[in-house]
Amino acid sequence: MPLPPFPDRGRAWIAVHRFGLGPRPGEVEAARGDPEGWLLAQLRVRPGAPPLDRLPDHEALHAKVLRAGRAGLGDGVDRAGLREARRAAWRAEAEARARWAATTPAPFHERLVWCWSSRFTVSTARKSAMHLVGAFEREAVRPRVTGPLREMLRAAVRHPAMLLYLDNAGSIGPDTRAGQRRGRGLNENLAREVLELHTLGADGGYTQADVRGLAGLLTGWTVFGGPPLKEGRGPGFTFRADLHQPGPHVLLGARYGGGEAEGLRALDALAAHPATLRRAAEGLVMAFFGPRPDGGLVAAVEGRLRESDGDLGEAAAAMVRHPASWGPMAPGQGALRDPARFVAAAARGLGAAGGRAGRRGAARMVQAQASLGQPVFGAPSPEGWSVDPADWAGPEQVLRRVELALAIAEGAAGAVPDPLGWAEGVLGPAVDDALRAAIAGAPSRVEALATALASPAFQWT
Amino acid sequence: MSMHPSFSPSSSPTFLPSRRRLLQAMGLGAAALGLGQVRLSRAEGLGPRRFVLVQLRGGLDGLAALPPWADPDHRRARGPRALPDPGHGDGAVVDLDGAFGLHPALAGLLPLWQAGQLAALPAVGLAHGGRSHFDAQDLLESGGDHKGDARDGWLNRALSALPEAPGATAIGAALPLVLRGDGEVASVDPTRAPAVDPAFAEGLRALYARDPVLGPALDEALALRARVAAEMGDAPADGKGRRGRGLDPAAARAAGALIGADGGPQVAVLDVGGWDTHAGQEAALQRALRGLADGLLALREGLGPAWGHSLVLVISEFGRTVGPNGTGGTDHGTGGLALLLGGGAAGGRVHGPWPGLAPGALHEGRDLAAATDTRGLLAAVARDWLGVDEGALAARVLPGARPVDGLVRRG
Repeated sequence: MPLPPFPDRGRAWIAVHRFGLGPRPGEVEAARGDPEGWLLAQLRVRPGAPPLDRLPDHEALHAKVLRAGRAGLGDGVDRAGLREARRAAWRAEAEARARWAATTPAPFHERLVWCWSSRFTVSTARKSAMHLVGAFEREAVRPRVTGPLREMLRAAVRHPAMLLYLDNAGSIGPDTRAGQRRGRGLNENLAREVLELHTLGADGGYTQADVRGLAGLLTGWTVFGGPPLKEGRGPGFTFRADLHQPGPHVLLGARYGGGEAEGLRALDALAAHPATLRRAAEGLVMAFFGPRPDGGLVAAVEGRLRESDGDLGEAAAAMVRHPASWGPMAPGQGALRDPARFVAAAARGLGAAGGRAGRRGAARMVQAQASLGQPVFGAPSPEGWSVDPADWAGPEQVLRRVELALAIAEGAAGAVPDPLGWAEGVLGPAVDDALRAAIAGAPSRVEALATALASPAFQWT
Repeated sequence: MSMHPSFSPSSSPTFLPSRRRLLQAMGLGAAALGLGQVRLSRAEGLGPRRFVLVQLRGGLDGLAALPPWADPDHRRARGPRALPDPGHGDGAVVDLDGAFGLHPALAGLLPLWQAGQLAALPAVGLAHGGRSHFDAQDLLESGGDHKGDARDGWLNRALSALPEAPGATAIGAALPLVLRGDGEVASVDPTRAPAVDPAFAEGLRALYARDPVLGPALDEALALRARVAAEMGDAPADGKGRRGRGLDPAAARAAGALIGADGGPQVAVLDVGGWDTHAGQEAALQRALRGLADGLLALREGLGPAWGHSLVLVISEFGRTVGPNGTGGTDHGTGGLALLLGGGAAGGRVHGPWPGLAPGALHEGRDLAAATDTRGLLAAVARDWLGVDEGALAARVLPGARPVDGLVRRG
């Protein structure tokens, strides 16, 4: 069915919606002179993230949770206390992240963080890692979204949250003394996900033997003391030679010896593999353009990754510079805002989660995106969040999005005296005659604002 | 017009319209939407048959729900928390077949057993499930044998393997893994009061008409809700979602009505939490099991005549330790309980081998062994009830699983 024409948004609006998180007041004006330059500038400096920079590191978080688990019960574990402490740590992380999403002056950079954080998922679905999921993103992902892929891979795989989430912390070389004595052995989980999700991809040409090979190389990569963790010593990465399966290991036809350095060498080789670079290019582009992106755009990003030795900042710049990135998209094409993006865009447009009301606003954002099926750091599997509109546009999900738009509008309409003017400021040329008429014809200010927030123009980028 | 819930899902109470007003509103909405034109059905893939999957998340203590009271090791193995044998007072086990009985909180299901519409598999488990909720639920839902085997749901694969895939729906906002995959599935939460004013919805529909993705989805959601509201009739709307403990009877009844009616989805999945009873198990289970029984009976009521050609599978990711832990509960175990209900269940009997509770029979010295493979049970449902052919079953739906024979009755 041919789609009716959809107005070109203009490059400034494309920059703030498609590549950013939706405009804060004044942001369209900031991007208007040079939209491309506005985006590229965000790749050059790592913006400070005040709400996030104040949070404790993973060692401190873990020590705190352990203390809570020990409180007042003698030898036993206070399960309720443990659960509550983990939850509190997660909540602080989730709210700080939401607040930053609502206020960051570098929203393109933030989208890159979300993209790579989903690629290297560590999720609250595993309760034992719940308190570390935010620290993982802050420590392993966030500082590296414009650097070499190889460094992000190393940091992600070695982070205690990942080692716990994907069970590597307990993986023991079957031929070590410890393995023989305890009758324990390899846990392939992390190795399999590294190959399938983090690097080569399911069709990347590896075999079960390669999974075993990488799993062997990663034995002994654990957290201090291994689980259960000892109090007073943080769960920092540690290499336990006594648990490490001695070499040789074979991965993709290459031979590796034993030892920590060989594992790192294997990861570097995986990071540089052509299948990894293709998958990285696809993942990056699909995070911005949905599951069926322009082939030329993917090829350009992939080419830049090869030329730049896997530099993710260069890849993002190549995406921004490509002409196909700036074409108009009708509703139903391109990317549908997932719940996190929808909530962030509403908060930014309405100036929520800033100022003194910020904390409460951030808590509501966290609840709102969970109510739409995307809890912060709560991806259902190591695969991360879907970029396919179909996964976010089931009937109930769409209706809930509409309900949320109404609820948000009810809280915010008092501060938006002119909903049509607001919509035109936020959505620009995407406000067509039909949307203008619907907003203008709404029986109340709440419903007028809700119409703008629920409109297809606000969902698709 | 403030018929919508507050912004925060956890804050309460939300404004709830009266039932009458709700029905009026939805009636108007349905008329205005031209409900008859909305394509609710996809195809009659299952014919008259219906399937409901109830997933108990957290690990149901099967030994408490279906005590093997005549097992000579039962009383010793379970410790002081073993319920009194049948006939010994109010809190006693309700006997089924002289070997197994129902927890008294499940006594409401006894008539189903007597009618041959309730079957039990007392020692079901995943071969490689482990004791993590995360891994075990993933495997239960994906139908994989080892972690990472599959990233979509066995039920989605099973339905997609049929010549005409029937519609399926998850009751709740999010689509559980078991229904994810290539097949098209809708999620709906019938217990939520329709929060969108019909006039507002109508305006929005006009705006969505040009949107090939969101437009049909909104249409279908509004139609589904209208339909459910009509099916629920005067049932009390408690306004609570199904997130609470136990199976919410209103949700179950509405789900039954939704899939029982002609032309709608034929498969539904309900998730029920609250089974991870590490502490204070007795009170928690009492509540949860009673809720489960009430919910299953409400489901039957909602299905109406369709109950006779329905199969309901109730299953959990694993069982719990045989012995009590130190906090009045039980910890994650291995073998657990599955129930089959409805006219499609080969009921009135206990299926599968019983490994027993003798110390030497326990898995790792602490858990009931998994004598029946969960995947074999799922494969039986897929092959014998849903009608998946052997080739597709082995190739894609549940490779390597051996269907357990004799579990279902196809009339």
